[in-house]
Amino acid sequence: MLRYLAKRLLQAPLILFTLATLSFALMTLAPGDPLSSERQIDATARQAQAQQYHLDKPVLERYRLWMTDLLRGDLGESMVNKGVPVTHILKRNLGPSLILGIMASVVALSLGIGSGLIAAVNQQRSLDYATMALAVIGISLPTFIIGPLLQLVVGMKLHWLPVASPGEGDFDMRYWILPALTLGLPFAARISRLTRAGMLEVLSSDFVRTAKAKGLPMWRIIWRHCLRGGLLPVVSYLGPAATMLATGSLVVERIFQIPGLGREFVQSALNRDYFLVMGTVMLYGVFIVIFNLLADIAYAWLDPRVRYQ
Amino acid sequence: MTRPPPSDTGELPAAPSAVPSAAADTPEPRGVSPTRLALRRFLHHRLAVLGALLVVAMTLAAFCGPLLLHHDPSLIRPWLHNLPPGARVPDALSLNRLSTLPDPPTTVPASWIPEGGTGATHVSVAYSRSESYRLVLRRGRIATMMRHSDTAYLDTLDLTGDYASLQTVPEGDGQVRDLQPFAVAVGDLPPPLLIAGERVLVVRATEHESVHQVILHWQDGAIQSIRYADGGAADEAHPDLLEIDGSKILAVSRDGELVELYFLLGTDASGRDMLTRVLAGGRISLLVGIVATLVSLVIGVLYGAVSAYFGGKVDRLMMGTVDVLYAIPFMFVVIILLAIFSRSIVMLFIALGAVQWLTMARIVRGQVLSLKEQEFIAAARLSGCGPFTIITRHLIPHTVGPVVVYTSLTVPAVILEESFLSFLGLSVKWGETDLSSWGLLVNDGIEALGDGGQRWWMLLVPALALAATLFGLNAIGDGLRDAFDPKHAKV
Repeated sequence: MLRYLAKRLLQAPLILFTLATLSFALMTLAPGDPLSSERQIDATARQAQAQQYHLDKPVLERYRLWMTDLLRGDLGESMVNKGVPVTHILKRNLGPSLILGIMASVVALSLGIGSGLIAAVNQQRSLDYATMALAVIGISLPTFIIGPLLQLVVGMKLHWLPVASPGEGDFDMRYWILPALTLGLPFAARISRLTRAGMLEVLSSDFVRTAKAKGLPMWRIIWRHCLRGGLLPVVSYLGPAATMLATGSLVVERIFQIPGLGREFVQSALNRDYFLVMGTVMLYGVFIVIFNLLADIAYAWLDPRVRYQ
Repeated sequence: MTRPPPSDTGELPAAPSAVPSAAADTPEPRGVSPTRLALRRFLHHRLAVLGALLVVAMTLAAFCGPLLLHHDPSLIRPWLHNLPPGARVPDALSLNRLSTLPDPPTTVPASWIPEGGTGATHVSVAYSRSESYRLVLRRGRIATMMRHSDTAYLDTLDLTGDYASLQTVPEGDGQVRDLQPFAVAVGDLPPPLLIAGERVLVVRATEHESVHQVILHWQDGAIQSIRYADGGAADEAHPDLLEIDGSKILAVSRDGELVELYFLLGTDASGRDMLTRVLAGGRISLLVGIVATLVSLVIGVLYGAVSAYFGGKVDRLMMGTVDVLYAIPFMFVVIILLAIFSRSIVMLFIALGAVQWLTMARIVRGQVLSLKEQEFIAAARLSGCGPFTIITRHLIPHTVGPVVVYTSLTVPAVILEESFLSFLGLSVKWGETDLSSWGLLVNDGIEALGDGGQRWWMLLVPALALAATLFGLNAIGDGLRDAFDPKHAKV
């Protein structure tokens, strides 16, 4: 197990390094001067700004500066909001995104694993077909269709739940239900299919047949013996799921007006606020890498076969 | 090499011939090719067949539909905006300048011209007149009122209808002030808000909208005469040139039949037919989906095959790169690329293709690793094939199964990503114009929804089209996966 984990641990900084280099490459290759969209300011102020953003130095020098700054945790300053450090903006927007992510994960895991289990236990019967058809539909509907549809039906027509986030203020659960559902449903659908597939494989094993023959109730068999092996595909999916959750949050935050990282990222990309864009990407990258690592550790813990690789 | 089996007739076995005698054996059993087996299994998967039909229908509709429909998806007619599904409106362009002979009329809709070129088209036009009135004040009261267009004096002036503009221009002052709608008679005090002491008011006002009937007589496709036909006064003025504002046309009829435009699914905020727009948008979405998938296919298959064939360090290095790239959130990079660089369709093909090739490479590598050990590969190597030939002619064709499955699952993923990008405002451009794919239509629909969801069709139509296509493609992918890999099947 240690060798397996060591390999993943070594990959993590490499991933972040590649991401940082990629971001820098994109920023450098971007056409036009980052300051070209500014209003007409006099030459000295312009030169001071260029110096501040290191634009007067050669590329390799800027790369080295960018990397060293990154290691110290300095992500530069926003170009649109003058002088505001990127870390400040990121910290401000982190909270809502985290809440959204956690709640969406809860929705996805609970709905997904639950419905997958139901489908697997009732294989080939109508409950199975119904659940799987729903799952295919869930995969097909993009978040930006589910979101406005939920807003339309639940928020505007039925008036059950509020439609958009109020921004600041106390934490009110009602505002998070629709966004969490919107973000989590496609993942619930995928996890449902994976759970079903994994559980079906486990349920056809000999030891399950033995347990049934011994007279154990089905729920006990599942809970004690099958879950651990059957959930393996789900755990290995959690890594890419984190990436897609981050991507999906961009849209959901826009639809529901949640002041999170995703909305900030899209805005800053459209505004060409390079430092903020790169800072956001790095932060997302760190989260995804950590999540992947946790998923790998969980996989190794669940699957004893991995430990002997 | 086996000997030919003894023949039934008891003859001595002939010298070993190249081809064993066919008359002697039992007939060879007819095998079924794996493709046909897979097809059969696919057809048993009900959801997949439904999905396939849906996708085929949608593709046909998207590529052929706009050609068959009458509406132009890019023609903007602002006065036809926000029409609900099933709306019927008279067929008119924005500004019609109709003239009598000898020059043919300009900008007349073809549907107005009767077949055979003769006949009469009746147009009901609502228009309002804008008149100037001159009020002379004497000793603080209205002495006389006169319309500027003619020399008739008025006793009362009642302009309480639908006003476009109501102004006063005091004599000599030149300043323009606004008035409320008013009704005055001679002898009255002037309307409020006027400065006393002025002697003459010039008031410009717009009257009610009144409906006029215009009859156009055609011959040989050209307008012969234009006549007003209001009530009984059928022989009024015959203008040589008539300007009709298309937004004011109430009805167009020819020989008693109404000439109308029918919008099956309503119009959007700029007056474009939703049905045609959604179908034309389907072209873009499907095209992006297919081409970007092909890009990822080519890159992924080659990469995976090369990596697996050479094995060892090369394989470790290449797959290590894939692992590292796998963890990078590619959509962020694509967003940055599109926001900062161009948004041309080629860029989109490459960017979206670059997102998807990683998994393809992994799948192909897995397949090739197991294929590599087979004897036919060794035979090929022994007969002198170079690595490139072995990879392209022997290994890759055998990876067709999983590749096909994954391709059919990649297409909906790419379509989804493209609509995702359109939603964020990074839709694909052709030159300077935004190509309206389904994602962009959904985005427009959301913006035009109206609080309370009054204009629901603008969101629902493209959303349903997108969802149906994605559902169909995913179902096909599922069916193919079950068909090619019996272990996953429900058998």
